[in-house]
Amino acid sequence: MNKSSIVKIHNALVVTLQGEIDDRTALELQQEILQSVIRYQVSGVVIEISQLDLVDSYMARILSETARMIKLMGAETFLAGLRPMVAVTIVEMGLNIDGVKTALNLEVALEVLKGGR
Amino acid sequence: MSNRIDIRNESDVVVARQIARQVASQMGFSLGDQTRITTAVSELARNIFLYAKQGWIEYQEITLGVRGRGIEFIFQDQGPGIPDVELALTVGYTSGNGMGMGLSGTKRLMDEFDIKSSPGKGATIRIVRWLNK
Ligand SMILES: Nc1ncnc2c1ncn2[C@@H]1O[C@H](COP(=O)(O)OP(=O)(O)O)[C@@H](O)[C@H]1O
Ligand SMILES: [Mg+2]
Repeated sequence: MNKSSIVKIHNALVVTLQGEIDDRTALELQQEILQSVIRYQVSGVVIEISQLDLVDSYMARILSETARMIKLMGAETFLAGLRPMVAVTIVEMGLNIDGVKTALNLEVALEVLKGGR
Repeated sequence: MSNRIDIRNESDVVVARQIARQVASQMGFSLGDQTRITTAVSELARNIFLYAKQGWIEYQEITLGVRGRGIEFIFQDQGPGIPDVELALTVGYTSGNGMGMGLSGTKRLMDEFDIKSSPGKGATIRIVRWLNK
C-alpha cells in the first residue's frame, strides 16, 4: 500500500515516498506533486526516498521526469536519502537520473534550499 | 518444486517484488543482492504486464555442484514475443515509452539471464542469482 505524503515545510514541499508504489500510483503522485508546487507556491521540492527499497527503471524515469517538470515550472528539486543498495543497483543497471540534484538526507536538502542556491 | 506468481495487473507486479524480496532474504542473500533480485523481478514482471498483458512467474531455489545454491525465476507469457532479442537488449531501446533499460539492466544485475522467444508465441526469460560468488 502506498503511504506517501506531501507536506509544506518553510518554503519547500517535502514529499516522502513510502510503502509499495505501483506504476499508476507513481504517476498519480507525480501529478499531486506538480499541483502542490502551484498550490503552496514553493521554490523547492525535496523528494525523500529513504523508505524506498527499490528504484527500478520506471521509478527512475518518473523521478527524473518529475524533477524536469518542476524545473520548467520554476522550482528546484532534490532527491534525498537514497539507500546505499538502491544507489548501487541504479549504477549497475546503468539507469540515468543525471540532472536530478541529490542530497544525503532531508535536512541537508532543506539547508541547501534555504541557502538559496 | 517451483512456486508460481500470476501477473494479470499492475498490483501483481508489486506482489511479485514483495515475494522476491522475502524469498531472497529467507535464503540468506545480502541486502545488495536482495535489492538486485527484487529490482530484476520488478522489471521483468512489468514487461509481462506491459507487453503481453498477462503471464506468470515460476521461482525456485536451485543447487548446482560447484555454484552451490541459487535462486531462479522464470518469467513466461503468451504475448507477441520478442522478435529481435538483440534489439530488445539494446540500452535505450523501447517499443513503448519506457527507458529501454529493463532487459539490459536486469542482465547486468543477475548472474544468468536468457531469453527464449518465438514471435507470436510469447516470451520466456530466465534469471539466476547465486548465493555465493
Ligand atoms: N515479455 C515481453 N513480450 C514482448 N516484448 C517484450 C517483453 N519484454 C520486453 N519486450 C520488448 O523489449 C523492449 C525493451 O524492454 P525493456 O528493456 O524492459 O525496456 P522498456 O520496458 O522500458 O521498453 C520493450 O520495449 C518491448 O518491445
Ligand atoms: Mg521494461
